[in-house]
Order: sequence, then C-alpha cells, then structure tokens
Amino acid sequence: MVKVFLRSFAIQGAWNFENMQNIGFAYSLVPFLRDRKALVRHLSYFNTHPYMASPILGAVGRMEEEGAGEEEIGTTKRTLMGSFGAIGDAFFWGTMRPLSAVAAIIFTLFHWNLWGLVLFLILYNTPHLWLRWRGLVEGYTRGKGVIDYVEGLRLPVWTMRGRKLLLVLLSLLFVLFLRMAWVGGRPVLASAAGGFLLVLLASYLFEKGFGAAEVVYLYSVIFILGSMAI
Amino acid sequence: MTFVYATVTALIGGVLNLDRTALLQIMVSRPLVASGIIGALIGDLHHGLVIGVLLELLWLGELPVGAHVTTNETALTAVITAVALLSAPSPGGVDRGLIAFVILLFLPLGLVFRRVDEAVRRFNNRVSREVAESAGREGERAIRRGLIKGVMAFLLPNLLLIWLSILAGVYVVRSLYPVLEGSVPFEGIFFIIPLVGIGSVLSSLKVKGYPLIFGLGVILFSILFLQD
Repeated sequence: MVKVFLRSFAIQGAWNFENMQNIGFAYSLVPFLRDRKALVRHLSYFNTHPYMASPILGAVGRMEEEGAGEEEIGTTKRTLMGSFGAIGDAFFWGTMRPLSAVAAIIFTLFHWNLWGLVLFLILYNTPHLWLRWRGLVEGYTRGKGVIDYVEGLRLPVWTMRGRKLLLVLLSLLFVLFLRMAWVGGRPVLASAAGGFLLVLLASYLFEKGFGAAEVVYLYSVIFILGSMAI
Repeated sequence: MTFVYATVTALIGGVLNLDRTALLQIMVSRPLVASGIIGALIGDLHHGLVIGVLLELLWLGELPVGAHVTTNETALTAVITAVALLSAPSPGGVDRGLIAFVILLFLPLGLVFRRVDEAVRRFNNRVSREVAESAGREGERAIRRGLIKGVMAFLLPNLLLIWLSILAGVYVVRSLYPVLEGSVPFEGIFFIIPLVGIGSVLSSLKVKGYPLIFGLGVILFSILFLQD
C-alpha cells in the first residue's frame, strides 16, 4: 500500500494528450498486479484529478487481486475517473488552493517572512495528503464501493462553504491592498469604490474569456492614458 | 554574479516546475512559494515575497482542468523574480515600479512557455505509444523508462528557457527601465495587478451573488482597516 501511495505522486509524470495519465496510473498500480497482461491493459486512457486517482487505484488494485474480469475493471475505472475528477477539480483546484493561498497572502502582508509559505503548504497539503492516503486505503478496503466513501466526504458541500469563506477573505485582501496603496505614498487608487469596480470589471472580463495578461495590459493602458490626461 | 544566480534560479525553477504537473503536486510550484525561495536565494526575501503575492493572485483563478494547458506560472515566476531582483540598481533596491515593469515585460513570455508545455505533452504522446508497444515484452521496466522520459521532457526545456530568459531579461531591463521610469507611472500599475488577480479568483468561484458578499465584506473591512 505504501509503495502504491508513493508511486501515485508520479501519476502525471508522462502526462500526454492521447492517454493522459495512463503511464503514471499503470506505474502506480504495479505493486497490485500479478502479470504483464494486466499491466498492458492499464496503459489505456486514464484521466482524473491526480489526488482522486488514489481511491481508484485502491479499488482497481483490490479488484485485480480478487481476479475481477477485464471488462468489469475497465468499466469501474471509466465510471469513477469522470465523477471523481470533477469533484476533485472543484474542491482542490477551485477551492482549497485559492483559499489556502489567499490566507497565506494575507498572513504575508502582515509578516513578510517565510512562514506565509509554510502556512500555505500546511493548509493545502493537510487535506490533500490525508485524502490521498485515506482514499487509497478505503478504495482497497471497499473495492467498487469506494464511491460511497467519496460521497460520504460531502466534498461538494465543503466546496461551496469554502468558496463563501474565500469571498470574505478576498474582500479583506482587497481592503489590505487599498491600505497599502495609501500608506505606501501617493493615493494611487483614488477610492475603494473605484477599486471595487475595477475588480468586478476584471472578473467580468475573465468570465468572457480574457486572460490575465490581456486584462493587466488593458488596465495598464487605461491607467497610463488617464495619468497623462491628468 | 548575474550568471551564477541565473543558473541557480533556472535549476530551482526547473525542479519546482515539475510539481505543477509531472511530480508531487504539493504546491511548491506556486508563485508565492517559488518567489519566496528565489528571493531568499538572491538575498532579497522581502521583494521576492512581494512579487510572489502579485503573481500568485494573478494566476490563482486559472484551473488545470482536463486537457487545458494553463499558463506556466512557475517558470514565469522564476524569470520575473530573478530579473526584477537582479536588475535592481543596488542589492535590495527594488521598487514597486521596477516590479510592475518586469511583470508587464514578461507576461507575453507565458505564451512561449505554454507552447513548450504543449510540445512536451505531444512528445509524451510518442512516449505513451512506445511504452504501450514495449510493455508486453519488458513489463515495468518499459513503464519506468517512459515515466523518466516524460519527467525529463517537462524538466529540461523549461529549465533552459528560464535560464536564457533571465540572462536576456536582466540585460533588457537594466537598459530600458532607467529610460522609461520617469515617463510611465509604473508604481500605479503595481497596484492594478492585485486587483486584476482578485477579479480572476472571483470569476473562477461560480458563487451565486458573489458581488454582494464581496461588496459587504469590502464595506465591513474598510470600516475596520481604512479609518485614519
């Protein structure tokens, strides 16, 4: 189990457009497999959130050890990777990462030292590493039934709660930046209301498909032209 | 010293970059972490962290979902941090204007790094086919070899591009910034970057009525923190 856990950190090592995480998945699964035929079989397309691969690895490992049929294992993999991937993307990439990072940034704005980085890594990796290990163990214990375990974690509920907390932290961060702009010398941004509108407009532009560089350039050009006019 | 720092930063940036996709994913590749490490290495932790805060926010809303290749924030962070700190007129003499200028100058490099990332993933298509062909004969050895090839493909081109970008970047910034700093309000642009970053994160949240919650939070914290 420990070997599979350690190997799973390389699940995206040879990430490719055609079969995505196939090589990493097969490599992680090796300690569970008995013959080369099974190994080759697991080189087919596989893609999920990298952390959510752990419960799938556990479940598939258990099925391989119990001698389940090729088709049954393939169906289980395909069913789990899509739903677990969507849950993992929303919870880890879309919520835990920004939440931990914004908390660490706020900490850093008060204490300019390396502890902010440490805080970020601890906040993020505690649930990450726990889920990777626990998911693998539960997957191995429950086999196909691992879906009940993941459902029981209620990650979509935590995702929504985390995002609401993140909204509050973002508003604090926004105010701290405004304060920096004032305390740091000239009142570069004239008012909280102006800054607020700039943030909402940026958000709207991102929703319309603009990239970060495009929005930064657009705002910079407007700012430069505005400064010249004044 | 620029050459030595560029080389060491490229090595660190290249290795941290592996955390984005190929190995671990424990977030040591994020701009806040990478900038802090590179800043500490070059001897200006404070400004390293300032750059890290700005860049972290800027790309925090970008999600690596499915086959979408996101901006290589680690490689760009390594380049921007090293160039800004090494271009300062004196050790620790980085100002907000210089940071904003370097960020504006290097944002387009994100496109180049993205093309490199896409090329690496296409190269790995070939690796995947090779492994599928040889795994029946060689078993785990073929898979291990494919994995090593994949990881090296993520490492080497990025490492080289980071190194070259830092060396060229320091030269360009040292030549251009003194000419432009008097006529362009870069310090103001410095404060635009976090606002764009916050907008980017907000757009990624998909929470109904987010402007209202965000707005109420801003009013509350303004009362607490913006009083004279």
